[in-house]
Amino acid sequence: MPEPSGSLADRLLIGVVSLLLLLPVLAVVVSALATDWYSGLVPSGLTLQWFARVLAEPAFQAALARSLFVAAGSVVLQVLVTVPAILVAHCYLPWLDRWMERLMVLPYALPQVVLVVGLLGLYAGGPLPLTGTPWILLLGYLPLAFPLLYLPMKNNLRALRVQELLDAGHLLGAGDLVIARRVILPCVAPGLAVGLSMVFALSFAEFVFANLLVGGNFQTLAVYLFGQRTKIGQVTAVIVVIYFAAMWLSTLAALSMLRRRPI
Amino acid sequence: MSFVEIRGFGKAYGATPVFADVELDVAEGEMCILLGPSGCGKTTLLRAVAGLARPDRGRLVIAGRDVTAASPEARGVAMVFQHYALFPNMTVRQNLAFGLQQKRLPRARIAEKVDAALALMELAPRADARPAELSGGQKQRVALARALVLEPRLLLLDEPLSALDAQIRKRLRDELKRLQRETGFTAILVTHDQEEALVLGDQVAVMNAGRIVQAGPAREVYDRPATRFVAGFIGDFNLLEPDAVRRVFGEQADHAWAIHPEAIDLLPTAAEHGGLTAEASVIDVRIHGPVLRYLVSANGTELKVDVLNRSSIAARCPGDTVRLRLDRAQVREVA
Amino acid sequence: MPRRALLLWAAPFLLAVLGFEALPVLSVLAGSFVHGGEWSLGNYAALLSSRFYRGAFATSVNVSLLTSAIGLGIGLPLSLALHRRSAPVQRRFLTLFNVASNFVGVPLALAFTILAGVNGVVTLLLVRSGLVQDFNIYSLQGLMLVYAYFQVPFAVLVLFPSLGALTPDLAEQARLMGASRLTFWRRIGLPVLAPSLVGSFILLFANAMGTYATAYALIGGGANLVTIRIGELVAGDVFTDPNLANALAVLLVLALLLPILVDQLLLRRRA
Repeated sequence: MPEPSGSLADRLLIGVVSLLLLLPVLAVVVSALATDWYSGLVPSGLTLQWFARVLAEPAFQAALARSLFVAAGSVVLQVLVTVPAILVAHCYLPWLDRWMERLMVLPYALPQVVLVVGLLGLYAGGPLPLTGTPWILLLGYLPLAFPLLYLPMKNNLRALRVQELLDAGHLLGAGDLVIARRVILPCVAPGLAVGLSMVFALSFAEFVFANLLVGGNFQTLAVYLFGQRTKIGQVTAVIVVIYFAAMWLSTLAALSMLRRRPI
Repeated sequence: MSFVEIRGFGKAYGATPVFADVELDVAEGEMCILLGPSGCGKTTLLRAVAGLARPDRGRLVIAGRDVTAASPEARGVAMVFQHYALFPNMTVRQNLAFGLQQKRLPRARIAEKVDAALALMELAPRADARPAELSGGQKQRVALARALVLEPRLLLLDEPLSALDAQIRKRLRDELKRLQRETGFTAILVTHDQEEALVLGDQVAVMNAGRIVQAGPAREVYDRPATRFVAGFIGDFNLLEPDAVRRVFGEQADHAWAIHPEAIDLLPTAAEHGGLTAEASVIDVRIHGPVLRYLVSANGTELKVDVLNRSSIAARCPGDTVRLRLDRAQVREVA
Repeated sequence: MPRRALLLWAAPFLLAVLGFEALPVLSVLAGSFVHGGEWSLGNYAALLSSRFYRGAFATSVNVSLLTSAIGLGIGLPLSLALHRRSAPVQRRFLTLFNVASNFVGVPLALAFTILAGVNGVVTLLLVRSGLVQDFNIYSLQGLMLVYAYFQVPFAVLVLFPSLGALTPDLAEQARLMGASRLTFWRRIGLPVLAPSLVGSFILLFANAMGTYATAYALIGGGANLVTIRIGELVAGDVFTDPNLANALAVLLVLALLLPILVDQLLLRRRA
């Protein structure tokens, strides 16, 4: 770039946009803590009573538990199903890898609502009636969340000379599985952590599938939140805050894992 | 019977041969250099010796055992890769220990051997560093230590110095020679650098287009190139076609002449002389440290002439007329 | 490892993609040609002749084009500004933008309701200061404001990596050769960035076109957007017509796929 780093205009632009981006978040947090915030510019007082009220709500607890189940299950499924496929494709099956790369555009070309139409057509009845159950979410999120895992893992894998590592392993008496477990997996751990935290966040917060494919039969937190949208602002704000706290924590956990491994 | 015997090795990818009819013998304790331009098949040949690539035909014996069909780890070979292939998640010590762990050696034995290898390669201060924290030269020394710690019957080195910058490359080259002298390992090293080949090689095998075109002691390959290709690749030869030989030296030749630049003497025009002579004019002079490289033109043919750079010898300037003298015994006829 | 064993490792993933991505798409495609129980183009005819559905497409495309333009318009200078900062600063703000671009759907709609709804603090500020008479977040304008919220950071995320192609030495070289800053941008900077600008715009457009949750949570069925119509046709309260939904979905995918494919074709030709 032409000029030295960080001119005033640059700082101003970045600062203002960031502030605007933080504004809704701030509004939610303040609202969750406000005694009442109906017609003033600032709330009349601060309280934790809304948190207490929402947290004590059995329907909320159940929805939170369901979302945690779906998110955790989704992460486990990705580890069992997608991670081996990405590794095998990168190390041995370049045709599959090219194919996976093409899958990366799909989220943009295939809106979720389109997939919903197809999934309803296939699994609403027939031999495999999955809609209305959490299983359709777990399975549906597999290809949906795939790019979130593929991209960061590939970044790590590209930095490795996998073929040479495997060769070196052979000469040192270690088979491919040993090298995969002792060398390649540890090396892609940062990407894996980032990817899985994003998978967790997506599965935890996803609304379109959860509402249209399952809805009231297995009400996740996003669907519960949607049902509460007409309630008082503070209640929805509290749910949003908790919703974000859960995603934030998972991201933080992943990032701290990343920092512990300086590779 | 040699320590390493390669007999009739051949490999092709589809219709494209990678190497063919390769015969090579390496004696115990010898460093054999596979020298050739990139794409000549030397790396694939090395990988076939390691067992990482399967030759389509041929036989390989190491230390009296036929290992043609053996898996890589069962051959008793170790390899140093061009880009080191160090395990990035492990420390230097862990990298060295890895192969010994695969052999299920007792923990104490492993520690002992690793410490010895670290000391040998002067890596002890960096034992707990990860590869990313090491310099290029250090990485290469770790890769070498990781191979040597296994006490392989045969050490394979794939362009081990090519990723390093010039100064470190020279230092590591000397260190490699010293190590081989001290520990006496048998090695095959692949390179495209002729100087490296001559300095390191007890034996040099020159490869071109998948075939070994000449193999022998380094001195012999340098002095007596068997073909025009070897002459062009290994030394900085003057290559004179028969009609150029006739024009310059007035001699009848059946084949092209290959003449080392240092085999030609530059004399004053009036000097007494024996052997082959020719009149020439100086086009250019360059200082290559210990030698002066003259570019001269004799009867329309350009020749390179190297002269020791001694202050006692007066330098000649472009435009000077000189007399070239050449001992007929220094001429190699190449097909 | 033998090839068959390798494929076995990838098989569960391939099955998942087949069953929950490929087959649903095929089902949508096949279903779109079933009208009244037999194969026909009836669904497409019904959609294309309906003012209502044509209107949905027009609204979706308008909203998407506009918010993509806003996204790039703010996102490009923002990316360039960020590109001039140090690496740690870049990392910090990219994390923020990553979080913001993922702040979508129901929570985002609710956040904006709190912030700029009827009694929201921004609405009150705007009205009391006399800048506007009345501000309605539950309108198309409001919807676009909310879309802009995730489009701008999304634009930065997709644009930023490509700025690496504009190395400092390019600008320095241009300056040494006597080019002004304007000339540099006109002759070098923008042409270098052009492919990624086009690619980013297409992604932003697709991102907006495909948005369902945010719009549905903010305005509900009242927003005449293609995605809302599709959702209504498969899970509406009033009436459902899955095959019409299939055809509408196919049209939506075509509208998204076409620019992506054209862009890729152009990129390949240039490369």
